[in-house]
Amino acid sequence: MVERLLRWLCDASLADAIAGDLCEQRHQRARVSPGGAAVWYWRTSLGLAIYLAARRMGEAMRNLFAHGFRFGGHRGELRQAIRSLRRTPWYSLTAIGVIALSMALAISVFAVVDGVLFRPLPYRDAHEIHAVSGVFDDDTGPPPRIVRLTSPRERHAWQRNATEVRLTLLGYSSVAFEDGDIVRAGTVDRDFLAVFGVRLLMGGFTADHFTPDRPIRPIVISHHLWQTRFGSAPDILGRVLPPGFLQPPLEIVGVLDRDGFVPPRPGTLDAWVRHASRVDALFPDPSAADFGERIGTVFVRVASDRLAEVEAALDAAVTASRPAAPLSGQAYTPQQQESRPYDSVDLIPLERLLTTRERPVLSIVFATALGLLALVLLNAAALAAARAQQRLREVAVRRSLGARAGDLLRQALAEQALLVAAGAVLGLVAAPWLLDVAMRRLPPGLNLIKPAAIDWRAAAFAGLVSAATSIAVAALAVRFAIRHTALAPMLAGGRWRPPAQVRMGRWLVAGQIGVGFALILGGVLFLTSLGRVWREDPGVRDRDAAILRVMFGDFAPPPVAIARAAAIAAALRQVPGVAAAGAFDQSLFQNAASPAPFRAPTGAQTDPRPSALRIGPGFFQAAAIQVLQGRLPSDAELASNAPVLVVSKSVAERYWPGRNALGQTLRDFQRDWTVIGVVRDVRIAALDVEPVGTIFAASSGSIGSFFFVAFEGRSATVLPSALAAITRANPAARVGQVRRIEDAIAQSIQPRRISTIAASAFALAAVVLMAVGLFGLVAQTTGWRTHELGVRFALGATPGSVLRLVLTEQLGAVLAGITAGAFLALWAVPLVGSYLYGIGTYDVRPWIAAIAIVLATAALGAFVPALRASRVDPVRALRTD
Amino acid sequence: MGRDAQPLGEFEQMVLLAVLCAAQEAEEAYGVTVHAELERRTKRRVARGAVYMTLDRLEKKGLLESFLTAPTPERGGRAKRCYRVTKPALAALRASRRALVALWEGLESR
Repeated sequence: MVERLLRWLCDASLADAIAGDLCEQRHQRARVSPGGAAVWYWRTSLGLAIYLAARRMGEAMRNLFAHGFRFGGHRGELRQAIRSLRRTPWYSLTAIGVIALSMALAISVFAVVDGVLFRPLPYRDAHEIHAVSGVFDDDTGPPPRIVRLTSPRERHAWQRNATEVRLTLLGYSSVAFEDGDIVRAGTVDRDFLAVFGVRLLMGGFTADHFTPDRPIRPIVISHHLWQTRFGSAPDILGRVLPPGFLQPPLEIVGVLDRDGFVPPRPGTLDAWVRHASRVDALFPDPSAADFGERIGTVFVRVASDRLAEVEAALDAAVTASRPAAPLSGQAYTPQQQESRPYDSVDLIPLERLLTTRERPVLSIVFATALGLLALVLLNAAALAAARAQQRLREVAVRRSLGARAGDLLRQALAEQALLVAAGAVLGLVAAPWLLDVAMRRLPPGLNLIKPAAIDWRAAAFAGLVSAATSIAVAALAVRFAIRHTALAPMLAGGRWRPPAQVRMGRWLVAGQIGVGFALILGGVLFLTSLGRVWREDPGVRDRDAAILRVMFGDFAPPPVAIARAAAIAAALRQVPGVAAAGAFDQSLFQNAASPAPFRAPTGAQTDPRPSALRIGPGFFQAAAIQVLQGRLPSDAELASNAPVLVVSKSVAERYWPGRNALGQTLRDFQRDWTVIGVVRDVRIAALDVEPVGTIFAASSGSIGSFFFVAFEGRSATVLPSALAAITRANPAARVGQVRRIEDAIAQSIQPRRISTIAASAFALAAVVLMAVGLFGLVAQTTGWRTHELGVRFALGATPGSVLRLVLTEQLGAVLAGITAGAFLALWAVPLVGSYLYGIGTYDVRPWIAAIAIVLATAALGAFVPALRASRVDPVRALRTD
Repeated sequence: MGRDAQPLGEFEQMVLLAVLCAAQEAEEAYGVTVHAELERRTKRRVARGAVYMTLDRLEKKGLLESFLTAPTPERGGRAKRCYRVTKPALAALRASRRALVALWEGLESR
């Protein structure tokens, strides 16, 4: 191996002498230490190889620039390269297009995924920031989720017991301006800026801003808001925003840095104000019986080596801060249930918290983009190799006339440099457009951490990789040509091909087919998976309906909340075009569902825990949930909060297997509820989330936020009237969100749709690239076989037999490529198995479909040039040289 | 300096002298012994690749001539390429030495 490397770097006799000397010295050293001799041998060989390679490169560069790339004169390499490329427009345009595609793809994909996958969060030592998540250990409380809300009083109680860490509570609210404009705001405490390490452009919070008797609340605004609303006014600090509806006067005390943002994502929060809640948040009464309303998430900054220690300290703080833990057997009051102390806490890294939904999706997008990039580069390499093949005779003639290796290489490099430069410029022009198209397709709620923007490092990387690939292949091909005798290509004309170059061409075809197969299989799997999801029945009305979110300016006691929700629902039902309407307490199809607070029957399977939906009169009719057994609660029962339940089918089967669920009872914190009906399962979290079962019960007082409205026709014509009816029924009501049921269902599977769009788009691009690559390669090879084909026709071959000959010649490389692609897919596909729905990674049908697509694409790419070859005029072909 | 003698670079002079020394001491001047002589006499590390490239370049200039010895098992069955200094090389070395001595005249006390 060493000798082979040395022969590559210097002439054969010198390489032989050096290898012999190294061998001799190794032999002598081995008498003392065989291991040491081996180490010395490889170290010295490597050092020699590096030295010789550096000298060779230096000589090549000196040679290159000594002659220079002359633009003028009949011998100018660049003019010659331009002329040469103009003579083969299809090759030139294809090569430029392929390079441009690789550049645009690399730049735009990187711009989207950079913030989530690569760039660190814009905070000082962001890995130290964690969210504190509350955990309930028994089955009467909600199961732990990634984020649990905490109250300011609870946060202070923890801080008293865990003094060595600094906690901050981030809540969410809104700020209204005089002109009616409303921006989302975060509510913060004095430790917020310190824990997050957020950069400020000017000003900031001080201790004085958090004194309880300060009448004007301090507010820090985002850089974007400072620019758009306040015109980047330099004297913004100290400006006071007048009071509004339930909003005290606000004094602007700071402006965030341009890149600064606060969870959950940039652009959604434009201001940060001091906390305010119903209960005095900042100086809690230690003897208070409950923690007050849970309004925000607690964050803490913890070094990695102190995580376990801080978690234990917070667990102890949680235990110590339980003022109203019930005695064993006693039930919590509804108020205590809302503010029931956690049993323990978990620390969730901020990065994971922010990108839980996005990371898997964008990882798939990035991985498939890398696969497509590899395919593009293989395509570019194949084109370069075919180009060098085509110019074999020219190379031989020039060598015979005295051209040196450096001259020939310079010519090839000049051509590739022109193609890469043109492709790079086109790619840079196309990248912003492609990025814009991608951003329009992405859902607005996707958290990219930072705005997607062109990163010049990605552009430079893509350009370098494209250039290096094309130039390396061209240089290799020229080297193949130079290494063989000049006579053969001259005498044989275009009919002679160095065997090594033929092999390289076939490997490149096989490589393209292999990578393309893996991409196509991924696309087929994701499309099939998405199709299976769309065929699922959500269990509720899935068209001509809408979910409205209604907000009120106050917090009414339960009887008032129930009554006003019923009144709004009744007003909606009066609107012409509205078939039914009913209130319920949580949003549907938003990947969140409250677990039911009912204890499972003794001995029943408790996992998975069913979700709960508190409903008002008219809900079942509006949602069109099918009744399987028993009856639905009457309006009177719902209005009076009667202890009756409707359970879904899976709950009935799980809690009372083999028995009639009707008449059975479930107990919550206070009383027994009786099951009066069984309905079909509803996929209330998302269309692709298996239903865990739902328990429908009358409202406990938290109702009034959501309304399910069914229309008799298209919602677009009726919605304005429905919204007006809500305002007439309750002037204090504000409709915050309107979602058509079709949109709500589609948005519930948004990550899956994004993955599928990306995978299928890349699969389609792979099909096009494979077809183009094969088309170009077969066209080239049949072009220089014109004379041979003429001989075949003269000897009696038919057009059909020539067509079969050309097609089957590529079959070997295609089959090799499919085999390689299958092995690649066997490794890669299980990585995305968890993202597929209703289909296994080794399901036979998608694999067969992918193979069929690849074969069809290969046939299509090879068919046209093969058909042209079969129609060549034998007389003209025989005259061709 | 003789007008016909080829001008020599510093490292080329050193390699030619090392070839002469190696031929004198070990009777065979080849890559290994020339490299060893250079390091021993100059008391500094010399890049092995530089020695081989210079030997090759000097041979192409006609200042060295090479011959192959019999292959040996220790060399993996490869022959050893030994070098000997040619007459033009000796003339060039002498000319370089005369030039250096002339330049040093009067500077010994510094």
